[in-house]
Amino acid sequence: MAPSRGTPHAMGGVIERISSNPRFVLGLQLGPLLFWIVFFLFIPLLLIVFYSFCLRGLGGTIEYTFSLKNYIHFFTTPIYRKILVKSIVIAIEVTLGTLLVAYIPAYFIATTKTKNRLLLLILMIVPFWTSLLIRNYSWILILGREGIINVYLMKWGIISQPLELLYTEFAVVLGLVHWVLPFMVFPLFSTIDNIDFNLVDAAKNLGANDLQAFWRVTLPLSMPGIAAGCLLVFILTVGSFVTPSLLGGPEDLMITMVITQRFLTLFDWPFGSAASIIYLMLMILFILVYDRFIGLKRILKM
Amino acid sequence: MKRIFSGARFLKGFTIAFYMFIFAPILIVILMSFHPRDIVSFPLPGFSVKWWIRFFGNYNLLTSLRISLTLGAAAALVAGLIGTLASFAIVRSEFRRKDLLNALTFAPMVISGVVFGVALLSLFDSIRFPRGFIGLVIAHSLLCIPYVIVVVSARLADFDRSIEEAAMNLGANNFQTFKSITLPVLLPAIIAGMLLAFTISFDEYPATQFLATATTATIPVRIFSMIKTELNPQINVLAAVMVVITICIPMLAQYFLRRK
Repeated sequence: MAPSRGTPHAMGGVIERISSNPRFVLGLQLGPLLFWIVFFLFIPLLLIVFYSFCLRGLGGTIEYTFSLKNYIHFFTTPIYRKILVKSIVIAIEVTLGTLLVAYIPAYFIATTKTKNRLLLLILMIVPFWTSLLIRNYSWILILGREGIINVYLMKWGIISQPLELLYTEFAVVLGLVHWVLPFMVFPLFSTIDNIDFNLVDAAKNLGANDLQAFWRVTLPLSMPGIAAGCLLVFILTVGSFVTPSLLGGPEDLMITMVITQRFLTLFDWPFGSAASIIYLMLMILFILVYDRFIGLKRILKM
Repeated sequence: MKRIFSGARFLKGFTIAFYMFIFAPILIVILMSFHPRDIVSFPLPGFSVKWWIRFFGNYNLLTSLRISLTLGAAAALVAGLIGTLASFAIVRSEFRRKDLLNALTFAPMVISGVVFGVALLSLFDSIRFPRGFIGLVIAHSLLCIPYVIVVVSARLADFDRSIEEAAMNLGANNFQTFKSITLPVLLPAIIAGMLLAFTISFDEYPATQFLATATTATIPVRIFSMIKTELNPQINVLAAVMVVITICIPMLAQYFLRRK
């Protein structure tokens, strides 16, 4: 007797047949992700592009026209140009600062012969996971007028007036460097760890001193890590919001703060959208230029 | 004559200073949560747990803590499910436009949360979807999916497929093989990925600020406005709670990843 439809055996057969169809399986695996990306990332971004060509109506409504006014306004108003430049300048300062601070520890961890290598790496991850908001708050406690640095410098008589450290560009750069350090240390570490140090010894045998060997051999060989770290740090910094908002002064505005202000306090969504698109274009431009001169492929392989 | 400046000693000293630099802000916040006065001052004038006691009596803060914990758990579950399923396709299948899919999946990791937040706000507003918990779960899960994929697909790439084939040869069907072979091997990585997702969600502010409402204010939303308006030692306790949660959970994740 042939099994009729609906018996457990036949059902098992149907499920078996469907579940071994590769197209069905692929659809099941990727379907949810595609749905999420299309509806909650792609379409929202398209909507922002659309809004950026509209205008702000009365009382914060959106006037649906096609206009380039938001973009023209952004690029012709000195304050916005200044903010755009400031975002890039802060990102460059943070990238260079992070590289300077991170290279030596990365080199030390990669070349140390002690068993503490793993411990040092794990310790590096701890601050990475610690709340960014809280770390920024802590910098307020440390850098403020009555913060730790000023209190002790005055107690020891090194200064008579508190230093203005907080709410400055310095504070923003410091807070950002602290945030992005792991993104620099890990690519540097993995590159330096793979360097064949026989090459360095060879250079020394041929008469190079420590510094020359570092400059001519080690540093060029760590370039892939430096390039990857700098890319990550720059991108993260340009789009940062929390740190410049909490540690920066009125002069230290970044593009994300313009977007937030337009959306949340001024209810000018079209202009905020235009600022968002300008930010995204800046990122894309940066990545294209980077790809042209350094090459993304090399980094993606890491 | 012994050289005063030694390269090796310089490297070691710099590295020690570096670790002090990265840990100082974290330790200071925990220390300050035991401040006895109403205004933060240095050095610590005494030691008191009164702000901790006040914290556990502060209804608003506890509500926010509950919202943040629920939101983190929900976002981690959604991201865990979507990310794990996608990891299978990314590791095991070849399909057209895989690079594009990868780029889009990892975009939320590098795009500013602010832009991502306003984009989602615009979407919800245009379809008249009310802001609130569901919207936050959607936003946070999207931000967390890349982290789940990184962790799960790494484990999946190491996976020895011959044990799956052995199960199939012994008569197990696809579902049975998945349930009794693939899933148990993968589970530690999935849990680790979800714990990391939870941590990301628990600290998310840039996108959340656009999507949270007065009744769904998360802990980061509270902390941000407290820092902006009134600096009092209550933040220190919140900060210490955040530090403990955001450090302990990834450590738990590491523990799961090491368990083979």
